Amino acid sequence: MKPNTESVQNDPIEEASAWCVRLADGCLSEQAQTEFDAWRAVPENARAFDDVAGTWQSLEATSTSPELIDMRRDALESFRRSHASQWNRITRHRHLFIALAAGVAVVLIATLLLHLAPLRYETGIGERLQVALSDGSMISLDAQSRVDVRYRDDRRELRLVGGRAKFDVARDPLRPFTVTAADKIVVATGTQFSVEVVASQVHVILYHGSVDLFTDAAGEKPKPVQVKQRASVDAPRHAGATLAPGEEMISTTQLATAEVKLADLVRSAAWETGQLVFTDETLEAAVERMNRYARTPLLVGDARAAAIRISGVYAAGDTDAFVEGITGVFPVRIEVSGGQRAFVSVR
Amino acid sequence: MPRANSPPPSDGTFEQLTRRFRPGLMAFFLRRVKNHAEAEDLTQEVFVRLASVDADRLQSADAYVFSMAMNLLRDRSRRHQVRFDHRSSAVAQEDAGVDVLDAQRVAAGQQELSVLTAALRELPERTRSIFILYRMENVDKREIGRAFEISLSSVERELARAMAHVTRRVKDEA
Repeated sequence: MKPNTESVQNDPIEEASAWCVRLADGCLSEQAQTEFDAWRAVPENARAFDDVAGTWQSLEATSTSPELIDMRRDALESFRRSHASQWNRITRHRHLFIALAAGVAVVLIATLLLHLAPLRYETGIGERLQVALSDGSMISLDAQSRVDVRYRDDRRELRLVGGRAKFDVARDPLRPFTVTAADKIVVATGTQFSVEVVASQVHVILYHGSVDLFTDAAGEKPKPVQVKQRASVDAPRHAGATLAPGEEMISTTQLATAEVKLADLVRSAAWETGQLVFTDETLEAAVERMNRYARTPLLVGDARAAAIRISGVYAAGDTDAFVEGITGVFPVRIEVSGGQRAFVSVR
Repeated sequence: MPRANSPPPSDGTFEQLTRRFRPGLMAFFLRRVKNHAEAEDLTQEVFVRLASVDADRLQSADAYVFSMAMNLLRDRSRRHQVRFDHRSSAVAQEDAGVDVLDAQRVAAGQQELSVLTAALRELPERTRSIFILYRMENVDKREIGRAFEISLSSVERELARAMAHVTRRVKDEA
C-alpha cells in the first residue's frame, strides 16, 4: 500500500466524482442510494458533489467549442482504432468466429422476434382478468377489452386496443410506462390509473401518482393535449396535460384537446368488482359498457337516444335490469328486431 | 380507431438525456428537497416532460432544462404548501442565493470554457478519450471497456479521475 492511499480515499472531490459518474448512468440501487445519502450527509461531501455536478453541467456548453470538437474527433478515432485492432485479431480465428457469429445471429433473431411480438391480454364478454407483468406492474382488464404489452430495455409500451383497463405501475424511472389508446398516449412512472376507450372518447382516471396525456398522430412527435376545461376543487392543481390524483381526463379521438373533471375514485373503480356506475354519462357510453357483459348486445337506435345523459348503478351482466331502469325513467323505449333490443327515443 | 404505430421517444434519446442532465438535476433537487426519492421523482418528471420537447431545441438548452426543473419545484411546493410549508420557505431562501446550477449560471462564461478545455487537455490521452467518449459521445461504459480492453471498474475509475481533475481546476480558478 502506498502511504497516500488513505488521503486519496477521503478526498471528497474524488468521491463526488465517482458518485457523479454513477448517477450519469441512471438510477442507483436502493443500497447505493442509502450509501450516497449517508455520504452526502457530511456537509463537505455535499459541497464537493455540487461542485462536481456543476462542472459536469458546465461541460455541456463546451461540447461544441472548436477545441472540444478536435478532442472529440481524436477520442472517436482512438475508439475506432481500438475496435479495429480487436477485429483483426478476431478474424485470425476465422472458423471459430463464423461459428460464433452464427450462434449470435440465432439468439439475435429469437430476441428480435420476442421483442417484435407484443404480449396480448384479452377478455371476452363478461370476463374480467388480472395480469401480473414481469416488472411487477399489474393490469386489471374489464370485459371485452384487450391490452398489448411490449417491454423494451428502455421503455414499457402498452396499447389499449379496446375496452377498459386499470394499471398499477411498478416504479422504474428509467423505463417510462406508456399506454396508447386510440390516438392518445398516457405517460406514467410509478402510479395507478385507468384508461378506457368508449363512445369515441378516451377516458383516463388517475388514482395515485401522476400521468401526462399526449396526442399520438402518425409521423409526428407526441404533443401534450390541450386542456380546454378543468373542474377542480382547489383551482388548477396541475397545469396542462398533467393529471392530479382524483382527476379524470376525457379526450375525444381525433381531437388534440381534453376536458378534465373530478372523478369519484371509489365508484369509478367499481367495475373491478362487477358494478357499473354511471354518473351523468351518455346512454351511448353506458350501453357500450353494459355490452361488455351482454351475450346479446343492446343497440342504440337514434342519435337523440344516444345523447340522453343517465346516472345509476347496475350489476355488470344484468342487462334486463338496465333496460328496465332506463326505459322507466328516460324518454326511450325498446324496439326489438332480429332478436336484438334497441333503445329508441320517444318523441 | 387504433393504429399500429407507436412513436414515443426514439432509441437512445432517453439515455442521452440521462447522461447529460442527471447528475446536475439530482444535485439541483437534492439541495432543495432533502429526500432522495423525491429528488429522483422530480428528475424523472423533468425527463418525461423533455420527451415532449423538440430534441433539436435541447442541443444547447441546459438553461431550458434547469428552468423547467425550477418550475417543477415551484409547482410541487405550491401543491404541498400545507404539509411542507417550512420546506417551501427554505426553497425560497435558497433561490435568492448564488447557486452553482442556476439556470443563468449554467451557460458557462467564455473564461470558464477555456479553463474546462485546458483542464481536459492536461489529462493523459487515454483518460481524456475515455472521458470524452462517455460524457460527449454518449458511449456506454461497457463498450468503452471493451474497446480499450479494460474492466468496467477501470473505466469508472478513469472517468472519476478525469472529473476530479477538471473540477479541481475550475475551483482553482474561482
